[in-house]
Amino acid sequence: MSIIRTDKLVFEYTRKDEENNVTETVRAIDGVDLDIEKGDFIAILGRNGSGKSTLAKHINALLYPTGGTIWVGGMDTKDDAKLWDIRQTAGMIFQNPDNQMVASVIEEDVGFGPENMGVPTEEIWKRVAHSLEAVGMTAYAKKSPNHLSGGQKQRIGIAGVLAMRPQCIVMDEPTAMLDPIGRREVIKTVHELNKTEHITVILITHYMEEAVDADHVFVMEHGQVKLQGTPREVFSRVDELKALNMSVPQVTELAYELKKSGVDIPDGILKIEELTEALCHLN
Amino acid sequence: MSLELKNVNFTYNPGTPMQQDVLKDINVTIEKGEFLAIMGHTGSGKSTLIQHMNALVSPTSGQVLFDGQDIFAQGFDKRMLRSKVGMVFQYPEHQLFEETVFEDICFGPRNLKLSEEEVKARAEEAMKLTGVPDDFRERSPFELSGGQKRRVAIAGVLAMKPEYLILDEPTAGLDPGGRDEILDLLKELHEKSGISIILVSHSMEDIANYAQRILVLNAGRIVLSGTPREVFRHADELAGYGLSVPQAALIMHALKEKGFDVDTDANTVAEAKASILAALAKRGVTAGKAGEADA
Repeated sequence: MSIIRTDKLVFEYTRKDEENNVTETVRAIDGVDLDIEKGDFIAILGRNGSGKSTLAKHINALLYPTGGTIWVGGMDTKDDAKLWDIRQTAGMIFQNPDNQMVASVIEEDVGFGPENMGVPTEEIWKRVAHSLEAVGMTAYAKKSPNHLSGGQKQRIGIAGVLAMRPQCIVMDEPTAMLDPIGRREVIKTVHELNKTEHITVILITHYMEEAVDADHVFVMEHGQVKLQGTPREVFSRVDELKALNMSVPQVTELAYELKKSGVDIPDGILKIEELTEALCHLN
Repeated sequence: MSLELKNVNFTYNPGTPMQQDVLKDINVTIEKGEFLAIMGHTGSGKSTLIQHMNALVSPTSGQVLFDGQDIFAQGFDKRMLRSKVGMVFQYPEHQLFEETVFEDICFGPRNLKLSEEEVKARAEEAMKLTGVPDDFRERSPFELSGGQKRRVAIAGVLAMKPEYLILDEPTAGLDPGGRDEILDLLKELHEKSGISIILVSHSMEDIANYAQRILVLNAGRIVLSGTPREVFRHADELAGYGLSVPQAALIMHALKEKGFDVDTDANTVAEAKASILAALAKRGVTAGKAGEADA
């Protein structure tokens, strides 16, 4: 069953001069067709300004298409009556965890979403406990968010979204401001949620390593989907990715370089073990 | 010519219950013309350390010397220091504020009380050095893309003609192409203009590709220091500090374990490739073909 589907999605905005004359029309999204299955882990790549974030904002109706249609959990986002249902279906996590903290005690921060939805108090506490457990932050429930590391703050942000029981989480570069440990923590947490709670994950990232374990990868350019497929399919196209300002994990690049030099190994190597395995088999 | 930190300690709220040691016994000399990388996980003291280098923070004890002179001594010209030791903060594009790109780049030198002619000449030069296109001059800095804004912000610091350029995670939030552009720019500045680069980074791959020397900070102390080859040899120790080594180094170690005669100090894709091809040739695998393509 598809959770997010778009049909020829277009988003245009205009620039105006001081006299309110339109000087420029920009097509940030240009005819995107997506069909994302429930429970999938999706990675969206693409250079700065390629339309990734604009696309993400359509998924929970922060922006509306100027052309085409997007359905979230079967609901057309243009249907205003469904706005809250849509935002409850697809939760959103942004880059800077500090901008998402609203309360001075962690459990209250996590409970903020369901409280706004009018969930009964008892049920809120149940959800808060469950969400904190899911992101491995139960021990911090009564603490202040001030002393958390970036990775921990981002996990609290994710718990806050989880407490609203979404079917899908959209993450817009959630690890951009984190150090390597924080990055690992967040990505591990998201993969666990995807596996154990069957939440659909849409991860926008500039870190290629984070896309390696996705079910499906989309690469955007000029508002269009330029490449898509499994990580293996996408990352085997090293030159095309580089032309799109993307890179590949070092192991993939190394394998690609070795192959170019005549070493007989398969395309699209994503893991260290795959490379060592392939090289051992040369004997 | 050097920037030297001698027995530097820095403590927040000394003598109170909130006392917190941030830097402990820091001794480091940065020679002019070096490309130094500083790494350490969040809270290890990296930012506090670099803020000592241009007198934004003064040590609780110890000295910071610029060309042998104590920068906190009475009468030391801190304005001069801050033009010689330029600082590019994280997300520097948030500090752009002028109406045009050119005016924004002029802001630094203008504050140095230089003649208007000199200010403009320096801004022109900085635009050239950083590759800010000429037709950006009259545009609003807010209309530019992330990578372009960052270039403009770096140009604004370069217009002060620093001898040392400190950058706190200059590639955060950029796409891989933008990341390479900024790092290549730093490399070029370093090679062509002889500017010392002090780069704070979380990317082991970038550090391995560009830095000559690495300082590793943990809990306020310098725990490792040396060339990338020397530092990345300590994979287990680095993991203990919440850091890692470039993926290329991990690959080399994995191959060594499988019996390949490879250089485990290789940290970049190019080094790893050369070493693997050599090891394969020794084993008699595709030696001819690999050798040809490599030559």
